Amino acid sequence: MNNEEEKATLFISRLLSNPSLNYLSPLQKEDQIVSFLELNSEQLYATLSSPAFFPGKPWPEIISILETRLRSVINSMVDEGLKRFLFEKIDFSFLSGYGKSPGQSEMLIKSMYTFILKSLKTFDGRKDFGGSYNALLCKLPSRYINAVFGAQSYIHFELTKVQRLKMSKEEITNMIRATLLLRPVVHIYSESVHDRSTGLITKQYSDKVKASIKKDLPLVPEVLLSSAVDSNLSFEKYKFIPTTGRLTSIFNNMARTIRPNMKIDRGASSPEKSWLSVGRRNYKYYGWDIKMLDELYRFSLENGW
Amino acid sequence: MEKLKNFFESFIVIAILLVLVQTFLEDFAVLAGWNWDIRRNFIITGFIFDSLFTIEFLVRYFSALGKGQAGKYFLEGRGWIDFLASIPLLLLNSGPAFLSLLMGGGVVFGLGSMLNILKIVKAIRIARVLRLLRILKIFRRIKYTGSVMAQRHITKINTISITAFVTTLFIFTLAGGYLSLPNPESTAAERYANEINTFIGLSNVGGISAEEQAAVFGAFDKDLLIVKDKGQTLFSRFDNPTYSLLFGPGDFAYFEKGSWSFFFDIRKLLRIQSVYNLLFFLVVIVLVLSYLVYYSPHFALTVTDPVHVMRRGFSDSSYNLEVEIPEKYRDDDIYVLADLYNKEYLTLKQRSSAERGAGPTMSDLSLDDIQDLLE
Repeated sequence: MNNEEEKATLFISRLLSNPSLNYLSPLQKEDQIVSFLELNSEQLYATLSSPAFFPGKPWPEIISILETRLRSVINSMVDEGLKRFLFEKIDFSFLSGYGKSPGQSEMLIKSMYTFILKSLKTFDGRKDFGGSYNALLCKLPSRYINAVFGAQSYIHFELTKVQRLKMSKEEITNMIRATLLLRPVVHIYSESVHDRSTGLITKQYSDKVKASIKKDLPLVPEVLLSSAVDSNLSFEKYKFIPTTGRLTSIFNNMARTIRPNMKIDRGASSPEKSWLSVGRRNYKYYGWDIKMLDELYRFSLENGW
Repeated sequence: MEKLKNFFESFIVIAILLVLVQTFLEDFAVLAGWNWDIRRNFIITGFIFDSLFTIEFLVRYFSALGKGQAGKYFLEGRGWIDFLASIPLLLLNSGPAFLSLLMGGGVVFGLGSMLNILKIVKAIRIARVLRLLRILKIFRRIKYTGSVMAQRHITKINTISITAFVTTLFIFTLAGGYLSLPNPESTAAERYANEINTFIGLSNVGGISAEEQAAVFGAFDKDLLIVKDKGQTLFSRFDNPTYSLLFGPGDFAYFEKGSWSFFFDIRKLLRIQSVYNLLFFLVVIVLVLSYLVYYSPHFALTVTDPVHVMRRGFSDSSYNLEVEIPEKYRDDDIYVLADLYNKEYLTLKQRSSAERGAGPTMSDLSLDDIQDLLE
């Protein structure tokens, strides 16, 4: 590490250690610091261009050094978390139902890990992964699938009768967790192919990505692949999206704004309830399944989530 | 200078808390019939506190006057509370009581002014309700809510109700004396006058010695303490040590008519007034506590909390929490607005904030967090 990198690392570490960021996930911390640097560029430049930091360098160069270091630090934090999820927390035994031997499953997990890391190199992949990662940190799949099985209502019907998943509650939860992690890989193949305001992709692009992933990740079962890639499609246009994909889309988007352990102001609804309530009014715009949102909203209301 | 000011303010807050305890105990001591030694200490401490608050008011007033802001201090800075809770008390209540203490006894009045004596005694005691205004001084210093608006509104409503209560009591009691309304003082005055006139009338008839006559009167009227003729004691209910132990200068009324002198025990009247004073004290305390414990959270729930949530939502692009709308207040203006905020604003905000590549949002970090680096 050269002198400049050391200074950048020290500066970034100082920002990361700020108590106001304690309750954020790594990628949310990254967002906060990038915003901070951009919003305060004038004041920061005066200090950061001084001899103590990066003398004589223009602001774009300084911010590039800082953001590179920031991404590197965050990547190592995310990498640690990703490994924990893929290799420890998510039980991939549901793959056996799709004819995958334990050895094949292990190979699939390793290749998924490499793929996901690749997606983190793209701007949109990183944003998308932030939502998925946070959804896992906030335990959205396990909590809501548990409630789904308790209620045995619309989502349960869609999972078991329409998508015809012959799996236990735990297996479905793990499948959604895996889908969430796999979802950002659509950004590996081409950046900015989606609608800029909604993040949705087209059917043609989805088919193209699925074909490419099948080549690169031959062990990934069709159901997991469709769920992950088609979760980026609009349910308003494409009614065939698997239930697990629709849930993945909702969990991913919901978790982007949720901050783990956030202190809720008195008089405000909880983050999940708020997001689901607003999401119900934006369902057409984002292509979410309104009945699913209604049911999830009811769960958040009943359970105080 | 700032430290000295903070010390002064803290000192005043402590003094207010202590004076409230003192006010309660002073009346309670009368009601419970505590010995004079104890009650005398309350009179002295009351005088010290009133002097202290008078000095506080004068310091604040002349300090404001020096800055050309005397009017502002008096009207907007609650100087009027500082005034009402200090100088009138010193002049009408603790000052006369303390002077009476220094003089070592009651003042001699003619029989014609008997009722006036009792009215003055009562006015002196009723002036004590002004002390309750000091609660307002402490109330406005308590930071019981983070919202400036809530603090101002609750302090205002508290000030209005307590001031209205205290001043109405004060004015009514003072004016009541001149309206010849039936009251324990006039009843007692009438009784004492009748008794004195009867006693003197009978003493002229003869057939029974003055000592025997005084003993009979003393047996019938437990308020009659001492009867003297030409300086010679004809009847005394207690011995001198007992008087010293139980009676202070304000506990008896002393009347002269011709060569006769009469002392009456007026502690029963004082007890009645103490019961009222304690009642007023409790009403004010209950009012303040009700505002703090019940109304303040209610105000926060129905006004400041939804405003705070909406304000954060408007100013912080990453804050997307809905306002929780209680069903029973759904039609309140504030919640009608909150409903619009939830349904219209947040819906559009979710769309705009999700725009890919949108510019930087707010950050939880601030430059103050790294001020040492920036220096």
